[in-house]
Amino acid sequence: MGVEQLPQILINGLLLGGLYALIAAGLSLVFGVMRVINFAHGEFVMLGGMVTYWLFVLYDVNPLVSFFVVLVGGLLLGALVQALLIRRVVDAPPMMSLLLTFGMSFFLIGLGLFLWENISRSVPAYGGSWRALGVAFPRMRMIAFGMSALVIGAVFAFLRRTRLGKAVRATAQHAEVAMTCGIDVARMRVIAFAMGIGMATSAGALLVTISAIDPQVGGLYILKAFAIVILGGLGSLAGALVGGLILGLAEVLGTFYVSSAVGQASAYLVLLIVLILRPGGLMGTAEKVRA
Amino acid sequence: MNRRGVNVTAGVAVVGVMVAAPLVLSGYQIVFVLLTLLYIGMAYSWNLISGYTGYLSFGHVAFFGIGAYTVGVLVATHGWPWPVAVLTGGVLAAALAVPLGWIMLRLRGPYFAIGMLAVAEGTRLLASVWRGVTRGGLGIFVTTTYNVVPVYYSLLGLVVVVMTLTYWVDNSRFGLRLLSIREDEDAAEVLGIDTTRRKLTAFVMSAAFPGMIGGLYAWYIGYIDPGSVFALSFSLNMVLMTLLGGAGTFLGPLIGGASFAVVLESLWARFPAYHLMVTGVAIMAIVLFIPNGIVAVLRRFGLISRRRQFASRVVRRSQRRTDEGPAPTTEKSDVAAG
Repeated sequence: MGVEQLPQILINGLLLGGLYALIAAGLSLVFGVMRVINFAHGEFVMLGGMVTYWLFVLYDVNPLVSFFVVLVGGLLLGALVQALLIRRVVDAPPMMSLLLTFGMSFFLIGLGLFLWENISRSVPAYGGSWRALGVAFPRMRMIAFGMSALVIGAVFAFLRRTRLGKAVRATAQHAEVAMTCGIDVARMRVIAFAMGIGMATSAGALLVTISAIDPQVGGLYILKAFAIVILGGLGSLAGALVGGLILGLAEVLGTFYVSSAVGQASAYLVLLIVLILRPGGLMGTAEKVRA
Repeated sequence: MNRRGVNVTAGVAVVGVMVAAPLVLSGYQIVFVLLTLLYIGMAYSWNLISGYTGYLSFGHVAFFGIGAYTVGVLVATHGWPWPVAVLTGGVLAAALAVPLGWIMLRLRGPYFAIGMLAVAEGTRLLASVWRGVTRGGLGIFVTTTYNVVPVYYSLLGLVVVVMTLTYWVDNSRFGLRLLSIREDEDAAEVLGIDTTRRKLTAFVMSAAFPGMIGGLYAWYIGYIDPGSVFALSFSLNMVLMTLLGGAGTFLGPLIGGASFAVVLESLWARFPAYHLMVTGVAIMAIVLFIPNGIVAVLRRFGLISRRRQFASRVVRRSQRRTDEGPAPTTEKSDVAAG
């Protein structure tokens, strides 16, 4: 059934996956550099989306403009959170950072409910589609995909092509050795966390134009992001990219060919299957994850 | 009377007061104590796996929900007597914990925490879509009778059992082995500890009680649906209470659960809009300022003695030998003793 719709479904899945990849890449970057799992990552996505919604409703700001506002805001907020909170638990047992960010996630959900109420919000932008080769390319989803690719590409270029990026990567590889080489490890961690949160909030700005979000939506996206980074390997940006596209495809294919429940559950299924069969991920850093 | 005698006498006296309490308390007060017992029981359950082995389960609500649905289905659909259904809920939760633990406990650290979170969300989803049995989002009307007093005594009994079990764990070689897994699993394995078996045992024990407590909750509250009995906040509260009191200690869950209930009742219930924000800040504050819980603070001031505790004695002795580096020694030995 439905083979002729396949190209359209694949396009939809890939476009969705691009956005997932942006969310997951931020989570993965933070983990890679600090070995900290940011449980509040989804809430930062929500925050980005809600601020975009606010800017649109209150000041009629184009969401693509808000995208950059929210991106810069996320970078600053991330730097602040790292300097005030995360810094204190980076070297503590992993349980501590997990719990700290878990608490932060609840605080942000509460803040979101307080500021924006428990109502789904969305920002209408660039409706319609481009058509080519008998396939529809929804305009906003294409733009969102492009923006995601832009941000991921910029982070990639920063890490690979600049001296500062190299220092961040050195911190990720081995903080103590990096420190003895004269790298300001604390500052690299601030940069990494700022970029991680910037990726989350900017993803939120794109997300709110595509699907409605409410203050509690973060939990949904953090699970998707977990599934992606565990699929691709915690700490691997390329893995987050591949994992994001795979999850996007899995959701869309599952929804179309089986049922919407299966489509929605594909994140959990992917997560559990990968955790059981290959807990290191497809291209994760060689990390001890199982007994 | 020696210290052990004092402890036992104090314990018996407290239980006696708790048994007599429903005779003198008002309806509202009984419900408050009932919910406090529920929180304490949940905290003790979570403490058995996560407190002692350090395997942080963010998905323990799965067992609570399984127990609640077992009672819901068996009582409402098949007309079973509720005590049998509650016990069945506990058995079912423990039975499911065997294969689940066998799979999940091979994962370490964040992978286990994330995996359990996915398990809990997965069970909630299953309860929503398995309409033939669970009636999906419609939920199940379990009972229309008012069952506060029987649920109160059942919960009291469960809390006494789980506390006795924890006391045994805290003072046994088994507990010491669990603590060694928390401190360094590889080292524990090298020393010949069958870590998988111990972890699985602790996991199954820690699943049985939420199963029964969830069943009692269903019988008490009268109506269940996937959103209410698989709510992430139950998992969160277990984490929060245990940490507040002191993870991996005998008294931690009791102190944490009781303080949690009092704070919840006196403060958060009056400001529902700020509830989540206050919870979040509370967790962050605990992590940053009292990472080893109230028990560790009390111990520092000499209000709780650990002298008679087998496990901590051995751990502390070995800690003194090994902790000579520039690492934050005091905190580290607190963790080990805690």
